[in-house]
Amino acid sequence: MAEELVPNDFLVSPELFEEYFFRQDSHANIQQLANEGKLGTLKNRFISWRIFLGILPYPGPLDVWINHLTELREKYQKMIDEQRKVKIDHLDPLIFNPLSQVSDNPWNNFHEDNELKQKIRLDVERTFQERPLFLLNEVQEMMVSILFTWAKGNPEISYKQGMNELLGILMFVGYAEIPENLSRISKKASEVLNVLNSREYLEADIYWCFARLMDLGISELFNPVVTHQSMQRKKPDLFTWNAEKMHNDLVNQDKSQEQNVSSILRRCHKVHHQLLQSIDRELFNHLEAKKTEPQMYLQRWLRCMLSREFNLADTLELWDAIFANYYAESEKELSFLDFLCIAMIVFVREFCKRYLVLQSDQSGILRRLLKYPPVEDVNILVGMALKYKTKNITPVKIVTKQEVSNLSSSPLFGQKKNLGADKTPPRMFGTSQGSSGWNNNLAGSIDEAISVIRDIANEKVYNENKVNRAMEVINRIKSFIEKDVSPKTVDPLSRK
Amino acid sequence: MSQFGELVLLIGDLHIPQRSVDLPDKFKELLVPGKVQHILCTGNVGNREHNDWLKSLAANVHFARGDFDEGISVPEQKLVTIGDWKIGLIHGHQVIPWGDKEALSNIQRMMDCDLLVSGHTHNSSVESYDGKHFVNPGSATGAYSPLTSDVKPSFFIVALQGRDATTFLYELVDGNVSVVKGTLSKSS
Repeated sequence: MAEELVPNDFLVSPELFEEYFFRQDSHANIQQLANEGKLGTLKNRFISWRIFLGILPYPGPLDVWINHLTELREKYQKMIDEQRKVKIDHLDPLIFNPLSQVSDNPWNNFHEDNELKQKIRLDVERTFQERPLFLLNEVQEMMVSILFTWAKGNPEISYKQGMNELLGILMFVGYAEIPENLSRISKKASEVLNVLNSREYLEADIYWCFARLMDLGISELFNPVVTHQSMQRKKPDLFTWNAEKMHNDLVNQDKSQEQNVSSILRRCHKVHHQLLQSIDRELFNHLEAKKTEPQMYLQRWLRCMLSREFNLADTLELWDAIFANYYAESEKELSFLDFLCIAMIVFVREFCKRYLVLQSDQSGILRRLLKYPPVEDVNILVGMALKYKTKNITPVKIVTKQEVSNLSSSPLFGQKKNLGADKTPPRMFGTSQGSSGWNNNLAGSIDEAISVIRDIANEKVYNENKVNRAMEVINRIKSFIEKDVSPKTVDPLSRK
Repeated sequence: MSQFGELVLLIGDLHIPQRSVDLPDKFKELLVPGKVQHILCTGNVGNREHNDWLKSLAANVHFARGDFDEGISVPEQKLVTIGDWKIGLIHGHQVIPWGDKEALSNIQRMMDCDLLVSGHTHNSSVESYDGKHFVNPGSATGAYSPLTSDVKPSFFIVALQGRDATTFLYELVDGNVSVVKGTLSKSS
């Protein structure tokens, strides 16, 4: 029984193409669809992703698209020709032949290239092994060719394992959307669709999507190069009581700003120490207590852009949201990916928390995170990530006692209660917003409590649960003000 | 259509130990594992040891049966497809008159190949006839042949890229290796 190469759900819909992309009168709001997890229903993902990535300018007249694509395709062909032809035309064959061991023999490159090709091929053959589409020779050859071309064009990073996974996803989307049955749409529209999603130039098109994806910061994640600082760093002062206490305050040091670590480590630390700490302090402390190093699970999440954590359909939905948010913000990086990672960790927080009581090791937590549980609807994660993004989390800085006493005398802090510089523990402050960041969260909590009470009043039904929760919130806020402890940015309606 | 080049070694008629002791040292220096992707051997290697040595040089090794290959079960003719090229392999003692262009052309048409590799004459050559190409790698050891008076040790390396092929003829002349380059193109 032959399994179909591409399940029907992923095929392109020429009719929807004609309606939303060809005709200039109606435009789909692809960003919104992506955020709601509904971009799949438009069934024109390859085109949508190319719009998000900036390869096709939106809404753009279609001939601009076609010209642009033609240009890119020619550029790719030139790149291939340049890279692969062995230039031996004017060289003496006695010295420059394939077997000679001479050092600047262009055939040496040929042999090195072959080794690179072998390395790539091994990984490509293992990509998405369970899908018959990826067993096709044609598909594998295309993938090897694209990865080889990129590796030769970017020799500092070259090819690394994990890139094949990213390419696999792009390959699937591109291959699936080669139009088959164009009988039901107008001739003009079918011509355009054939050019945009052409089978002949599929390799070039997917190459440019891949190259663009790598340019958005993903290639840096594969870069193992560590830039060393030239000057000597001051060694941490470990000989006084206070210094040791400071050093042990955070089991894992926040290396997100350091220079002499690799980019992937920096990003993992940024996600963990800065984003997670300010979004969910309790969970962060718990993970720190369990000495869970963030890069152990985040490395694969970030490098493969979550394609190894979810099944194909869910991965496509997540990538829709990631690209859509990149397009919306016109940033230079795929920062939405970071927020999605936070959403994933918070989603399983109850599971992580349970291990505090039952088991005292980190292996359970890691096991959960490395083998992520199937999520009913990944749009939940997208929603959570959107929420975190809009809260505009600013980076958190650890402030030393000296800095606290400096700050408390500054006019910015004049309005607040006077902090005794001698008895204040290190505090967390949002660096750019100062104390107002703290106030904002407080205000947010109060707002939510008020809305709960209003709901109860409107319902005019005595709902014990809700009332209890509202009381809980108000008590907690009261205790924050009384104890003068920095509040956790916790959702007041969440269960402790 | 990926346009990666492939290197093919054409070699044969070693006749070790019957007519020659060994390959020339300079050839042994050149023929190291990992340089070529395919080997086509026209046959008459002579002993098992050198059969195995050839198999160790590359991933894909193809043999044809020569008139002195006993106890070895390899086909008389073989068709190998590398990239866009169809290459036929035969020892050549079956083709009468030995080394005749038209007789070889018959074989080429029967096998339907773009390039026919044959040996037996111990005379290296590259020829084109009727749009198709014929390559004879000669004898890698310079073994005696009743057909040719002055046998020079030789073999071929062919670089295939798309529809073009570049041939390198390695010959031992007066104790030194000479390399001659040629180009072929596949006709459609």
